[in-house]
Amino acid sequence: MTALTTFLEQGLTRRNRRRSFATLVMLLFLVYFMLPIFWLIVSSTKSDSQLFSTFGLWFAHFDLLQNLHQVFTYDGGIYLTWLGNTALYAVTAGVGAALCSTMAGYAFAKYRFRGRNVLFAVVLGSIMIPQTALVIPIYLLLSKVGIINTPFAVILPSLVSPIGVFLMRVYADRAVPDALLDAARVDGAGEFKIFRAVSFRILVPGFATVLLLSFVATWNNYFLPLVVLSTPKYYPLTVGLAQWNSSSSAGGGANVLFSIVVAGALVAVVPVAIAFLLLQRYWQGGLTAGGVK
Amino acid sequence: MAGSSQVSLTPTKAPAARVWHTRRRSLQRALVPFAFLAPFLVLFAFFLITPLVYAFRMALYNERIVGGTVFVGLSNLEQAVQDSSFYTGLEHMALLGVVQIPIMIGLALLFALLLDARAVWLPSLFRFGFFLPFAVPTVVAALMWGDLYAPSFGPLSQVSRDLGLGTPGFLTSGWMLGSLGNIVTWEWTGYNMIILYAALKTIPPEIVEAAAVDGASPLQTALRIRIPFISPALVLTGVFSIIGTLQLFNEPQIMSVIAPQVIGTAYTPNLYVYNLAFSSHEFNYAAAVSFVLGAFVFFTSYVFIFLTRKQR
Amino acid sequence: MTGHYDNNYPEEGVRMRFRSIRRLSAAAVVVAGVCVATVPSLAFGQSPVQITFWSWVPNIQNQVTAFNASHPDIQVNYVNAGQGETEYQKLTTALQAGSGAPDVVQVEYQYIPQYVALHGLANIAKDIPAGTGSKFVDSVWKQVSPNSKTIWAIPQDSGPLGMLYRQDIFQQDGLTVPKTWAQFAADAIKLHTANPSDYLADFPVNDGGAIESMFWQAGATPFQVKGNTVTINIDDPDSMKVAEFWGKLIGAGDIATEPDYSTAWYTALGNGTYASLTPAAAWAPVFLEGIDKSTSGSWRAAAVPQWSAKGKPINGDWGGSTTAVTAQSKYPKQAAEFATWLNTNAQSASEFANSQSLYPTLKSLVNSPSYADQQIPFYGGQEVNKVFAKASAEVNTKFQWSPFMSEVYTVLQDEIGDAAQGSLSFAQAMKDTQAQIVTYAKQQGFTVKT
Repeated sequence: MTALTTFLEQGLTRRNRRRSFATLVMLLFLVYFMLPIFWLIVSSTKSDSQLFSTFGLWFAHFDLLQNLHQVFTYDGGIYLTWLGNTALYAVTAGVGAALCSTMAGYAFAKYRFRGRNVLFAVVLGSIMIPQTALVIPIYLLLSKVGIINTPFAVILPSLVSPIGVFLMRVYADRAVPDALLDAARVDGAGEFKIFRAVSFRILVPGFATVLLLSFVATWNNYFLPLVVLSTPKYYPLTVGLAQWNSSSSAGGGANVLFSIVVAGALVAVVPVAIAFLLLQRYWQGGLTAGGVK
Repeated sequence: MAGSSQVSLTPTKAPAARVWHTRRRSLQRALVPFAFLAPFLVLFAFFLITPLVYAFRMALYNERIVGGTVFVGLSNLEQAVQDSSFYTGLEHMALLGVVQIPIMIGLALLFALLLDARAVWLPSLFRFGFFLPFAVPTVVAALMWGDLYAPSFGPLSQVSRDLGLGTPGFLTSGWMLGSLGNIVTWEWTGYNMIILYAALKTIPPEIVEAAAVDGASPLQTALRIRIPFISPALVLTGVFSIIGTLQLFNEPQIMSVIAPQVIGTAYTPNLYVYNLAFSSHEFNYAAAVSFVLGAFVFFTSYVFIFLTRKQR
Repeated sequence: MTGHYDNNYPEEGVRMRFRSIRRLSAAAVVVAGVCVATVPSLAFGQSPVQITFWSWVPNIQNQVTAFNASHPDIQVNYVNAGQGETEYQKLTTALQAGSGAPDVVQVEYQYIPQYVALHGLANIAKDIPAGTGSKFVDSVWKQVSPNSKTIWAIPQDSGPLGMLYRQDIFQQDGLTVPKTWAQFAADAIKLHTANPSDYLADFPVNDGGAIESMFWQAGATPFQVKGNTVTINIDDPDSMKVAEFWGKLIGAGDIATEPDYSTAWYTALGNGTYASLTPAAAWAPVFLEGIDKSTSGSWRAAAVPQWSAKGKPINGDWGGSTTAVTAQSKYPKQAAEFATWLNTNAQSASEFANSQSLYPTLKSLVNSPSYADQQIPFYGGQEVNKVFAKASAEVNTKFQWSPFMSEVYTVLQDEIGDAAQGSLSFAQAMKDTQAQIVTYAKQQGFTVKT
């Protein structure tokens, strides 16, 4: 609205012409980014037989409600359990990873200590080994501690976010001035109190961003839960949906569930989209140094 | 570590002998960063370092169906370094990375610059819309694109045929890398855009304003001031993309179900590691290959950082 | 026949890598087990033995519930740990780690020797009633029990080959149902020439099980296993004949090469792009009914084409699963009791056959009038089960699986996939597969003969 009024008020100034052209280019890209999501929405309104016999990018017979009903009732309504699990894993891992990363990143940024650079290099270097190599060891480790095939097997490893530590180090480096910390120290505040009362407030936008990234990473994680869980009642949505999808290839005893899988996938994306909207003040403002100005 | 049981994060109020007090304070000082690091480091050691060490140990042994397990030292690693199947996958990923990463980062940078310079209408819509694919699990994204690519019923093929352009061969061997690259670009451009956009936001407004006062065009400001300023973030997105590309797994794994003729067991290095472990039951060799892959990832990232640093 | 995958080839203590960990976890499990087992037994006198069961058969919970109701001393907990590959990946990981495997597990026939070689399965010969084997079709029982002293699993279902075709399309295009593969090829060319966008059948390059079943049906015996000695003949003349036959049709574009179970494949089956499902395993008729009801009444079943017009017909198996007891089970006896009940109890077996689209392996059920005489409307009232009952009796019993089938499938699919793309000949693909598998088997410590 405001954009429109400014546009009308100012008329086609040179700046506005340029702006309109840029907007047009961005709109074309928006179509590209939205196309598969539009396909997902359209497909979730179709029945199995229409799914592949009608044009994929337009609606046919509208069966969305039937599909949703199927999604939430199939197999004793296990989809709701998966949704709950996913939310539990993503929220706890998101908050936990953001907390751990914020504290660690802050320590790397604001303290000089022996081995700092080596330790940081090890943290970053660790993401270079592919996860497929760690499947068996992680499984072994978790079963040794007795948490294999429990929610902890997904949550605990998800708390480790080297990228989160990296982002928070960079952010804390820029956002928290040393002078501020020194002033607080002169006032006699302890280090932990300084962190709680002064630094963390400044770090909140970064914290929120890492929270969002870890939340999404756990929400969308497939490989780890696939390996460490074997009981469907603990599955997150990704593993559950993949299981439904593959049940169509069982040969004897096959079950074609394509329309349920599609509708289920759509439902799985909605909470993350909502989280994006709710947290956009943070991630759109981003890892800004806004807190200090 | 002596005195670690006395680590206390709250300042000691009770005054004791002065010397002891300062010594204790300095010890505390030294331990403070580790107290902050502790939660992360404990989990990190347990869930990443331990499995890594274990995997490395695995790579030093060979377990056979008949004859059991024997220590073989570095021979698995030696074999992995010379494994042609591994290099086939690596070549695919190198080709994909060289083309796809610049496109993706380039687009992300363009979007971020336009949004940051308030050069478009409806910036929130674009930020949200471009970022939204990141909300779609890669497993679901790959399945969706698989159906979009399908030659018979896929809507893209239908439109192409209706336009008289024939059926595009998205899933043929010639196109597959491009098709995979498209999925990756779709998923991650918005994510990179957000990181770059956040970095742009940290530029002190005075600098940009000063440039404008000096009569610099928006393009000049972008090239001379804003892009150089965010080069660390650009390098960061580049490194993450290199790592992600070399470790590509979910997308080719799902595409291999649709196009098994094209995506063989060693199409990407990570797919090769997975198949070695779970189809061939060569867990030890799989571990060795993944360490060689890790070394390549490390090397490539390092070279990339080195090259970009030199340019600056 | 002598015991082919007998228990003695892994020398004691060879898996030292996991030994200490296993011991530790075993101790932990024992301690935990004692706590769990003693506390309730003190309180209630007797508590049922808890058994975990992995399977991907839809609605198998019904059978499990029935079993639990009639066996108060055993409590089976059913878990769907994923279909096929997904389940195997989990099973393999659990076996490798030394804990986490279920007591009872669904395993397809071809992977039994492999899991035996990986020390994953328990020999239940002593735990099941004598004479159980005689209840099952011979070719099927032979796959789970190489000799009377070793029984690795109880058969659940099988998939002898046949052919399912669209009678309306055959009539329209003037095709006769092929009795031989030569005639099948002629039909394929005729149909594709008349309707360039349609095919007589699809060759699933991604499906090692399907491809292997056709070698089997041609009388091939790619593997002979005796102790640690494996004879490998993947490129024997019988298999080569099959590969070159399909290679020629695929090269000329007369046969489709869509991966099976893909959405494209489902679509093509539903809309008549494929005029037949060849080969079709015995579980396919019910499976097909489930995917597209709009073609009901136009499908028919027929015997699979033969390589020779004369002589006794030969058949092979594609798919089919067993119920096995894992080596990690602490209650192998109870686990074996459940596995046996699941597949021999009349009610349970009939549920598999009639509502879970699985083709039976019990002689009594295969030939029972109530099953064989069913007239199925989807097939125009044809007695489809009779067609497959005949096929079931014709399966070549000389065929054996290797103890590394997942590697065989992987290599075969890669090579045949390349051949289907035209980058090498089908004959070469077979030779390459043979060479790679020989190398692999040697690496794994087997004595290899060719």
